[in-house]
Amino acid sequence: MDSIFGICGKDWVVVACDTAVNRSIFTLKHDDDKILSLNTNKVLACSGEQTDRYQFSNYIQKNLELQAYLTGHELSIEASAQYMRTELAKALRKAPYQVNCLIGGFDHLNGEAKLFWMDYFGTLQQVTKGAHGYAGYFVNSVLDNNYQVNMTLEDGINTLKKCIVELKTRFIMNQPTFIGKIVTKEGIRVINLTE
Amino acid sequence: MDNENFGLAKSFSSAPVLSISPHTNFSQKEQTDIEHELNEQVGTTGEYVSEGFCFKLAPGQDQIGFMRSLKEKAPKLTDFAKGTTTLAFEFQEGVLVAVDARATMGAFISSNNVRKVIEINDFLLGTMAGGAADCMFWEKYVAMQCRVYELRNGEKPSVAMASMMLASIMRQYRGQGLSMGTMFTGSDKTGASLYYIDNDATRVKGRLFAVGSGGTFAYGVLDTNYRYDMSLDEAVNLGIRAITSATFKDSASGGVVRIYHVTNHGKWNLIHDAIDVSELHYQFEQNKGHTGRGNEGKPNKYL
Repeated sequence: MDSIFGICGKDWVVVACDTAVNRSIFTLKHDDDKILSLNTNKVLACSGEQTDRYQFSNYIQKNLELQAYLTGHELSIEASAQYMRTELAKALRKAPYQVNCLIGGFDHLNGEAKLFWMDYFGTLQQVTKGAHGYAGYFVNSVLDNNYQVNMTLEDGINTLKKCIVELKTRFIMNQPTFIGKIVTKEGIRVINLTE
Repeated sequence: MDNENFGLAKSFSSAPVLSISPHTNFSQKEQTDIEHELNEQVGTTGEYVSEGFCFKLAPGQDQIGFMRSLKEKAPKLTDFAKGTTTLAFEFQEGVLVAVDARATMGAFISSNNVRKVIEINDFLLGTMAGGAADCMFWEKYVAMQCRVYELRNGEKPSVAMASMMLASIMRQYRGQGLSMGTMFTGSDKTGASLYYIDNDATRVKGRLFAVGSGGTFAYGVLDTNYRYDMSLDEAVNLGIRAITSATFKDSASGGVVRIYHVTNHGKWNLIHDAIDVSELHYQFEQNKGHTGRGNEGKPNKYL
């Protein structure tokens, strides 16, 4: 029931996420950061059961770090996404990770930002905007209508804020706080999307 | 291709047995020992073998599938009737743990004097909700692992690490019928910290948790009165108040309140061992000027 969604421009990408951890009828935690910064130019937002989310995102992060140590090169955004897909697909027929992900990042090689959408079956797709879970039913249309080629980062952030307003007016779940992470040439920046 | 079936199939060939499958010993194979075979089968699943010992799992390869079909065919066997109220919260002087003491078997109250705080070792505490055996066993197992870590490395493990040990065990046995909802607290170099761990292998660090059937009622009192900068006395009183209120509304919780305090300096203290909740209830109600029988403001029809 986690809400994660993101939008991607030419040289920026923003991923947003609610911060609640729910179990049965409780909210266990109100301030959980579900967006992991993989390095200085890549973020991985996961939704799903807490344990799978933790296990998968940390496994990926550590392995990407190891890869960077061994080769001296950071993987590109697409290569990292493909690696995550492979690991998810490998696990699918054994002990599947129930995680849906958005992978966002900035490629220093060609100066482009990229956003990838991936579900727990291992469907991987590069997108300009994406959402997971129930939030997708509400948010996808808002993203579609507000997206423009060459839109600025400010427009992107405003679009995400519109998404959150929509979720707060129509979605039954109580998700009081949202966190966002912006990836640009300068690195990763955290923003509070609920003012 | 190293298993026994391989050897048996090839035993029809004329080649000497040992050259085909050197590991197969036919003389032993003939005296079938069911217990031994079962153990072997379990052993082959590999990933379920814990260090040092192994449980007997359901026969067959698909443990999780077995549990699922068992739940369908015999729901009463797997759904334990359980009820409890346990709570713990962080505040400036450490972590406060408060629990009730009732054990139920369906509608029958089997005990009102249960110890639901498990004293794992001299710096770790765990609470008990769900299956008592699972909580007690695995938290003692963590105690053992912590001691081994201490002997190997010459320093105590952090609370984060100890809680991760428990969460990893829960992950390993996920979907196989364990039942546990625990608040794992302790005190290390960084001070006291609090984790929530359950049988779905959820592990979250947090400031305030309440677990069990009375947990919702406890949350109600805690959330309205909680402050981080409470003194120890205030925290103890809040803990008592929350448990008392929860035991009043939740029939599966009751008995006595026990309070533990985990300090920021690497140890814990038992503050109250047994305060009767029914006495507390009358005390609290009388402080408000009520009788405690709950008949205030109601028409006196039948008297």
